[in-house]
Amino acid sequence: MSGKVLVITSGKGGVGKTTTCANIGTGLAIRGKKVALIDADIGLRNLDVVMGLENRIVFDLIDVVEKNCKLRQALIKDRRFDNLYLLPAAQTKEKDAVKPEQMVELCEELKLDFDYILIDCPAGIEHGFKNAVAGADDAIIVTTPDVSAVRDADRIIGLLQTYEITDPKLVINRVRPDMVRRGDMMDVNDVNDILAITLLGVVPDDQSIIVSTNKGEPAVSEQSSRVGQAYRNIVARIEGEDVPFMSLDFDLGFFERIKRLLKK
Amino acid sequence: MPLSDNGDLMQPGSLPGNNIVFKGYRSGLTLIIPEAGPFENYLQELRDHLKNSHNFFNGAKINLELGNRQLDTEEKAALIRLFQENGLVLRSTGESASPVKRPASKSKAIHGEHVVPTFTIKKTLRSGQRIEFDGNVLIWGDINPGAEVMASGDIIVMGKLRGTAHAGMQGDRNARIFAFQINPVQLRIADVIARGGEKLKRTKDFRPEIAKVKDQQIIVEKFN
Repeated sequence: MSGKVLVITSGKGGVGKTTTCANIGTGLAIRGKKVALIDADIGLRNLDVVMGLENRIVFDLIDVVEKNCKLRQALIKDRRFDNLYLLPAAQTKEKDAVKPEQMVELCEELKLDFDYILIDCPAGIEHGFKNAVAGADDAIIVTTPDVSAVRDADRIIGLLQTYEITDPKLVINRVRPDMVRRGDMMDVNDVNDILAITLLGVVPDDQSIIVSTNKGEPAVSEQSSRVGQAYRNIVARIEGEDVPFMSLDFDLGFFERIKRLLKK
Repeated sequence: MPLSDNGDLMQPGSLPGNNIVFKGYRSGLTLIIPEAGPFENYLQELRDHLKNSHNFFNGAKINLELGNRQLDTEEKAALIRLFQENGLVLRSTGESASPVKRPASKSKAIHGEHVVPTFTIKKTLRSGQRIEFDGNVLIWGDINPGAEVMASGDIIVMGKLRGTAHAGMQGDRNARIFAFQINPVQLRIADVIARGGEKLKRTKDFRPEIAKVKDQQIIVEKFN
């Protein structure tokens, strides 16, 4: 088996990289793929918390690259899905404790056993970023419809070109349809206009994501949730399916709908 | 050094084309060392630049573009040593790896007309990317916010100009900036500076526009 290594990155912090990573990973696992999640955010690890696996960590990424343990020993099996694994980051080390070559080696080893390896990249463009992208075949860029997040995403796309990742995919997170309609927020077209890369999905802003993140249960597995649906669509597109983009007009009131009809 | 002070105005006397430049292309990073001037100076400039960039280039694969310059074995060895000390990987030299064609000579006369060299790049410039050239610059793509283009001649953008552009940077107020949409962060022509709209300009117009200096001010008008 030769798996695919995807790095999930954004430049800016707090746009939802870790949540996206957890949801895409879980979504792929639900579809029966064998998935490994790597938390490359050394010193500020989060992915284990979002996945609800914090209390099972014995070994971490640093232990693996320093050969203190076997890769198998450090991989934590998910609570719900047998084919989903997490390689946690070290909380007590510095980001430069890992070298890009070691990450490449690690990814090559994981590729033999897994269909997908998702790397949760730290914010920024320094050492941690270089480590996270070193072994990646492709990238998923997460942004929110903010001018600053889009600017940073643009910078990342430029930097990825130097790593020979020329066709990164875009996830636009936390879109608020009501604000877009009022013209208070950039819409999907505005973001696409600047970044001009393949759009993988649009995730609406929803309070339920905070609840699911805190519970350690990724929203992708909740059938009724809109955020879950958005992530399931993203996963299907990663798998090569042609899924139409869902309408973000769900919270329009009755009169708004009529008004829109009349406008047409 | 114009390389490090991104976004600041050029220091007088720091002419473009007299400094080393790093450029990012689809094929990777390219280091351009100007043809003219003593090689040691550029080597020292590169050393300082790498020192100030805090390992940013560590692990980067570099294409080298020297134009017509020929390096002797000692110069080559010094450059490779500097690359190794900073973790840079030399990938290739010469023109072949770079999509950009640089003119063989800086400028020449055809039928008595002075011909200005033009630097062509076939991609969108993204935030943090910068082009600096002694001559005209032609871009087949957009200039995104956060990207910068500096030219001693004209700047022609076959796309949207949303970043910063500085034409006529050696003082030529007759220099012009052309784009299919001019909606910049900042425009500069020679020593005249214009700021972009205070608020995000929501115009979706896509029509040829040209910026030039008129009465000490930069004006943008429809191109015809």
